[in-house]
Amino acid sequence: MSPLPLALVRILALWVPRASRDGWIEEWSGELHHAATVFASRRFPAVRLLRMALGAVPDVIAVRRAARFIHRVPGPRGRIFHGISQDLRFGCRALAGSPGFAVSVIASLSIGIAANTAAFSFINAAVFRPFPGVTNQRELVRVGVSTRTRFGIWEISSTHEEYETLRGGMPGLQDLAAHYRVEFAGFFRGEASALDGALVTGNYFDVLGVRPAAGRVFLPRDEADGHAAVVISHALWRRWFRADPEAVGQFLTVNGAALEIVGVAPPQFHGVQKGSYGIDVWVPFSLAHLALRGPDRRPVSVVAAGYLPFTYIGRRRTTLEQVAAQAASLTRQINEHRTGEKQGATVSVGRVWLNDPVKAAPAIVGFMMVPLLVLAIACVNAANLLLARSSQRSRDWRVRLALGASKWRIVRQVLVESALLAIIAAGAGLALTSWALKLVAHLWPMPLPMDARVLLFTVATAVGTAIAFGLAPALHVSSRAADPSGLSRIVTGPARSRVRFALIATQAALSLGLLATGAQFVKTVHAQTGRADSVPPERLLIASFDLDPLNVRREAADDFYARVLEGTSSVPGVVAAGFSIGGLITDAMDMSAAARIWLPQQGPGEGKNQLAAHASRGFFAAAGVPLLQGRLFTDAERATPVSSVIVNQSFASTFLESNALNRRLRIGTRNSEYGAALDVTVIGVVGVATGYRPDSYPMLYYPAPVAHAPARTLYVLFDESGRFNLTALQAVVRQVDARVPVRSPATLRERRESTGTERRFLASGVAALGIFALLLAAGGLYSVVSYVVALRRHEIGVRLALGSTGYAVVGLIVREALAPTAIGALAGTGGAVATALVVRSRMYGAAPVDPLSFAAAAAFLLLTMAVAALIPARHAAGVDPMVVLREE
Amino acid sequence: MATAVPALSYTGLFVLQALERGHRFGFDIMDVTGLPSGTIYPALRRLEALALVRSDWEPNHRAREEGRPRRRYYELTPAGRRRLGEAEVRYRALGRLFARRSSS
Repeated sequence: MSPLPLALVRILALWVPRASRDGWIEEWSGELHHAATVFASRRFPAVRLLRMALGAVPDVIAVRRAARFIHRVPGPRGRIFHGISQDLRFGCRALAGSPGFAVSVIASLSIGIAANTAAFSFINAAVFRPFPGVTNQRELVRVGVSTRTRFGIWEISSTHEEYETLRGGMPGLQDLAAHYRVEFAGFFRGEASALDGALVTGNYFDVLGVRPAAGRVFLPRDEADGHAAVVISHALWRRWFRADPEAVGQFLTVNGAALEIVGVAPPQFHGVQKGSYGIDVWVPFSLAHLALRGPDRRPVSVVAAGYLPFTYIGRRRTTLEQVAAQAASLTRQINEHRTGEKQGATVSVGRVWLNDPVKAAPAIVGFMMVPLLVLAIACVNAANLLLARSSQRSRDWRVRLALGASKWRIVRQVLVESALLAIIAAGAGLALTSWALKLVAHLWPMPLPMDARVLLFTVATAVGTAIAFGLAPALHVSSRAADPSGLSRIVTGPARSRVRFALIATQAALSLGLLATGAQFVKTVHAQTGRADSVPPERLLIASFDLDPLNVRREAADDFYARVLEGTSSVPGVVAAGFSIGGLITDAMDMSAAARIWLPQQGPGEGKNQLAAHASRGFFAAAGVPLLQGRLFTDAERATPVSSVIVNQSFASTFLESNALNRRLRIGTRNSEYGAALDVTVIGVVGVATGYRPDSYPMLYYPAPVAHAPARTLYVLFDESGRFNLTALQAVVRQVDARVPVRSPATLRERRESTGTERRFLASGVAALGIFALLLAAGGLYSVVSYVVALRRHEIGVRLALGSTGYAVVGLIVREALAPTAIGALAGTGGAVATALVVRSRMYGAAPVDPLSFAAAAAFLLLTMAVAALIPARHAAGVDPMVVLREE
Repeated sequence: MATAVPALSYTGLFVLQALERGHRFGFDIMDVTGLPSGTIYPALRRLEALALVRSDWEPNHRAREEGRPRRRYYELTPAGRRRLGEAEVRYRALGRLFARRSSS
């Protein structure tokens, strides 16, 4: 059941008399619960349930009245409430009497409120939401040990011994747990899969206060006895075991070792690491040798592993300041045992939260700007409609004033009506948001809960909205109400109102600004993703492998990759396939694939680490790397030790004066010594891999791995037949070694789409809001012109009677409606150009400001607005002068 | 009886009649009369305040076994039964009205 109906009931319960409040809540939750089971088999269950929950609103009123009936005492503020309830009833009747007006106001406001609620729930999820599954997050502290490296970068690293020092030396903490993220190779029921996981101390779940969904979490003794235990994530439990409690006690192979599943973490728990969502398994520190490797690539225990980027999480029993002071006092003790570049470590203590709200404030303000603009347009619209309507209702007001109503009473009536509209719009906005969030849930990696904070925000927005759009008409009414002399006149009101003019101009400016800015954003995103491709991105499959978790030796690794390559190449439909090391088709510089290179005439001390990669047979063809000069590797050259290399154009021009062929270099593994390096000859120069910028990094390729390389990336180019796909690849790998998982297999197109999702999402969001804004503005203009036409019916009738043609009337009305639009469009264009210039100065790769697209947006706006004005104007032209004149 | 007994509305009669026919929960009354929740629950409050209807909670253990919140059930008081009888005499058409509504 969606939480919205229950939340609504809980909020409404605040108005239920205290004595019967708990019973009231329980009755409604019981009924809603039952209704949910009944509605499940009908159409639109969520809508039905929400409609049922809305019945709690009149019920609250009834309960209050019934309580008064029983006690027979008027409420202390009974008189004020009496007035308000009368206003409310009158307002309801008035709104029901003009449903067109009510619907258009509610529709535009609810879109504005929904945009804000949705935007805020993103912010809520990214900044304010506590980590799921964690108890009492306020007490948690993050402890980090970091050193400043030679390059001025802060590096988090510490040893297990230092962890013990910290744990023992901070009495302000109840306990301190350690966490280290690793990737595991999982194997279960004949299926190999890569698992994101973490090594944790035995007290980790205890410190975070995690309650398991099934089984148990780690106990300190799991670590002490070296129990081969694993805790799995709720998602993995559902995926592999269909949430069967019998999963506890079964065995799961992790990095070749059989571990007993002792428990399941609660839903969505992924620790308190920012930005980590997919942890599947937690393994105790005592089994660290499954994942950790020493310098010789042999398994090592966590104690012997040396410096690792551990994260420490503690639960404090004193203030944060006291804990920080204790941490500072341990800094000296830790540095005493450190030598060399590891010295100068700092122990820092911080709160555990997703994002520091203070630091995130500018981003939040920036992010909320656009939806707030849309809401502003909606408010302007609603104010416009209310104004137009109040001109029509001025006779009512005057009669009431004449009968002795106070000015304040009339203003209050207008405000109550706006509040009523805002509340209904907020309800509709909430429903719209929860629906929209469900739609995007699969696009977004983090959970987007509609929690109390989001509800509170919506309520605050609705109140602000009611004031924003209700105040101007209320003031307008009160200023006009001061003069009761117009009582004898029939419907009055100025046909040309300066306020109305300004409002139309403002919303035209706002919607044009949004539209143009959105268009600019979309262009920028396209400019960033569109690159020249030498092979079709939808036909290049990239997948990576890592044999390190399985602790495979060098010969076995070479053999595995040779057999996978052979198997892949023989699958029908494969054009070319090849292996490389490192992520070549990303813009990230992967220094793990680096080699130390000595250029010609460089001495032993002058070699530098440069990007370098192994290029197996077929790699250049598969990855679309064109040969520019010389030749590619022959099979004979693939024997070790290597003697020939190929460089890319950027390498040739940067280091070899564009004269690379037959030059002699010396290469070794990363950070290797001159003596251990090999002399090699450059035999070819190649271009860049597909999807790369032409000005990419200098790069060197060697024909066979120069060192043990357990992790490699496979590139497969296949034809249009589509006979090669993930299943075919998995079959090949399973035949070679079933324990090895295929990691993140995806075509180049899929990869690009997933990395560009966020930006594209934002850009299309802004553009969609622009369209919404335009629709709102057009709707607003339409209704305003309709009202103006209604006001001027008499005048139009006279004009027609005196010989004016229908065309002239239409022209008159459209012209008058478009004058403020044109002024607004001009202002909006100016604003959008200014925004685009600012964005361009701050954002790398932003599209240049294009006057043509701005002009097109302005023309589009004017056209839409003209159509919006034309419809009511044609109505005006259809007025029968005889009928109108007889109405007098 | 007191002098100022508020007149029963059609809604009130619907509810009383539904209760007499054994529909004891707010939702069931809603379902069988086809009236919205915003009408049924306030009507129940009014009838309870007039002592034509009384309410109680269903046994706790049943709800707990099924893992859901308790539900409140309603039943006619003798006064309620009497009022319904009077009203049925007065509005002959009520039985027909009700039948039509509940079948739609």
